[in-house]
Amino acid sequence: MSNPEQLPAALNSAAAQPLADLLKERLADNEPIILDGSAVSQLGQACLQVLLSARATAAARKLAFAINNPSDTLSTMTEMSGCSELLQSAEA
Amino acid sequence: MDLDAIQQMFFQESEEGLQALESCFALCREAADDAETINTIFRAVHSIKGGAGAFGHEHLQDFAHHYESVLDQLRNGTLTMTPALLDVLLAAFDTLSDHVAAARGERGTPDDAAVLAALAGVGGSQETAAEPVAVAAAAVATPTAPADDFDALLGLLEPSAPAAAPQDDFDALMSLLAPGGAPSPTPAWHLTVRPSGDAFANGGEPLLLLRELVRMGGSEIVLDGSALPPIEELDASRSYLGWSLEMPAEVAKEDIEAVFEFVDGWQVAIASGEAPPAETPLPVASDAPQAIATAPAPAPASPPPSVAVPAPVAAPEPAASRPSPAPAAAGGENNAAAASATIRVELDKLDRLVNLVGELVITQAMLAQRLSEHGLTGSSELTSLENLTRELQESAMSIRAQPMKTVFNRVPRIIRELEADTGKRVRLQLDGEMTEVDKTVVERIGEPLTHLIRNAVDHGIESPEERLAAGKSEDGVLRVGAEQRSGRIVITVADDGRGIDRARVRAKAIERGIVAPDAMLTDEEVDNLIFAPGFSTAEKVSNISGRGVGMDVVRRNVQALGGRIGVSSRFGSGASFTLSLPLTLAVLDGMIVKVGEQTFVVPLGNIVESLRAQPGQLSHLADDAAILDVRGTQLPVLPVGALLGLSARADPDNTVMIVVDTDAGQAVIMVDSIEDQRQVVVKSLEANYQAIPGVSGATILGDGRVALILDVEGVLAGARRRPALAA
Repeated sequence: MSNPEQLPAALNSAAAQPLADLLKERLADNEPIILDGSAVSQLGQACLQVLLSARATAAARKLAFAINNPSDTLSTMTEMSGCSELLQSAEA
Repeated sequence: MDLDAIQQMFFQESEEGLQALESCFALCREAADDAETINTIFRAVHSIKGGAGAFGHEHLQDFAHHYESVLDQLRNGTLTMTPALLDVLLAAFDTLSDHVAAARGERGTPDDAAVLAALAGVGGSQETAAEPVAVAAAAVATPTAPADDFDALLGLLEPSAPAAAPQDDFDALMSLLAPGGAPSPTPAWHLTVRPSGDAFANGGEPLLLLRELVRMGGSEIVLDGSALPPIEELDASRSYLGWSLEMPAEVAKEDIEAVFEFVDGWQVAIASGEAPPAETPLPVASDAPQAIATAPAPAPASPPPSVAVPAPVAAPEPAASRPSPAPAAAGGENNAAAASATIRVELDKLDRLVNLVGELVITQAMLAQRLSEHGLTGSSELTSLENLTRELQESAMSIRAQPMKTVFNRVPRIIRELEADTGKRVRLQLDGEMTEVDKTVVERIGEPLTHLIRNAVDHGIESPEERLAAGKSEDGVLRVGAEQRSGRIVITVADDGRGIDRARVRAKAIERGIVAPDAMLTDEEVDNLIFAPGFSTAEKVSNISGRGVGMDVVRRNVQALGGRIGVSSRFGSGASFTLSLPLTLAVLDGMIVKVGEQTFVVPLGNIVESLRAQPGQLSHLADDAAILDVRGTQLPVLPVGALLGLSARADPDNTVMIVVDTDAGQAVIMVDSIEDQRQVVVKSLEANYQAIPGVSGATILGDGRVALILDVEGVLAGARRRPALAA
């Protein structure tokens, strides 16, 4: 398992494309996705759906996907958005 | 309609909402804070909050949310209106206005910490210790969390919050989301939401709207990610998600709809009861007037209530003049009625219409003249055409007319700021708010009016101590009024302050070289010295009414609008400034005169009388300067021809004297002859050529000739610079 990738504090619409590019690259290399969510202070839908898509893609390829140390914001926003499973590890 | 256009609409409606708030607070100040007024205030703030969420204006949305929470307590009787509470609500209103301006990019985000603390203070101090679930069931949460702290606010969503975490109503509400938490209120509405594909454009953030729904009591949130593609195919700028959730019965359907008021192309379905809405909500065409279509539930025994979302293109009618919204449960029909009664039109289109009508008037006049040249006058068809054209023009102009209310609504805030800056106390009386005047005049009168008001409070009204010592009440009275008089709008700014100290004004004018020490001046002339360039009687420069250039600038601005300003004062009792302005700048009633080979229009508003000089009435001071004796008053004669470099008649027998009234007093314009009196369509010289001193515009006459419109004030000012008349 590679070192956790630190998620940026602001996961807003502007951050969605860079995040998608990063996760795409990891998955193209068949690498597991291990992220650290401790710094996240803002989560918008654009990044939420990137993370959800990456998680589903990883599961389909039997790659691990995990967001460790989720911040309160990350936890509450995923809870509010009806996708708490995003924070549950999907081990390969 | 694109998102940007909808956002502009949101800003316009926010502006109207703020105006409605100002009107309602004026009623509150007069202790007329009935349930309907409070409800109107609540709805206006609620609507602003909804739109702010739709466009990602998070600071505005959060502030409006806290403001709304206190208003909701006021609405449901948890709080009662007191002078102290009104002060907090007014301060919050000013901050809300600043937040709206910040969202428009007109200023930076305001520092709202103090106001939020004050709101939390009044909201918290009178909060009942009701059981959390009961409060949650009261439809809208009343958070006391720190305002702008996104983390803190969202932290309350944490289902397993530690015991030490702040427990408030919002916390209780949010706990309903947690598995095993308090039971959900009876769901009344099943809601499905799917943001449009371009929902992120213009800073849109759908989760803010979802958050708002949760704040309102939304629960059982289920994510629909079925449309989400694999990461390789995902376009990060498009929205793929959707949600379904339950809303409690206590939330009015209109309140749910209001959350989506300013989004376009979203699929939103609201169904009553627990029955799911139609399985496939119909997408809304992006250019359809309705932003949201709500699909009915599958036709059970009791059909679901239909939902009419007010079309966002509706309602240019001033918000304050709308019937106050009925309580939420019954507001839908009223809203729909208001929406159908009005239509919002781009100003460009309106201006084009007014211009075309102006051209039509000119063409009609040309046609009439041409026909008369062929002896075809007096036909009834021609008279009908003339009447219809005039009526059409008046109708077109009336579309542009706006009530002075749009200007007057800004006055209370100016007064509040001045009171805070000066420590003075001012009771404001506004009269004639519904007086209508052309939009251009409304837009341009704001600045001079603001200056007059600032001047009245800064220089006119005394401090409470001075007023008590003078035997007056502590509160100064400032009256700002508007009325139509003789085809003009007259605006009055009057205070009951110290009035103009003529001895001091005269001394200052002599000191500044504005008048000679031995000049004989009437009271009126002394009062008018305050309009002289560079004149200021303030002992020290204040940051309120400027650096002594103000009144001069005020007069120039008013003159640029074709208006005049006057002042009357009684020392110790107050001063009254009167602005007289044309109702419109697009048409003008004028007298058509000839000077040499040229034709001019003299504005009728300036003309007092016209006469032929009798022998002995005219005294020549120099070759090109003379004085006319008009019933004992010596008036300077302005030979327009000479002043504008035209060859014109000069002998009294062959000229006509027109007595005109100006801000600088009366004068006489000498012209060759008077040809006609009629309404003319004003064409701007600045826009089509360049500004010319002494000429305020141009018009096209019936025979196709261009006639210049005389700027009487400018001609007199030019003449006074000539040595002979200045003497």
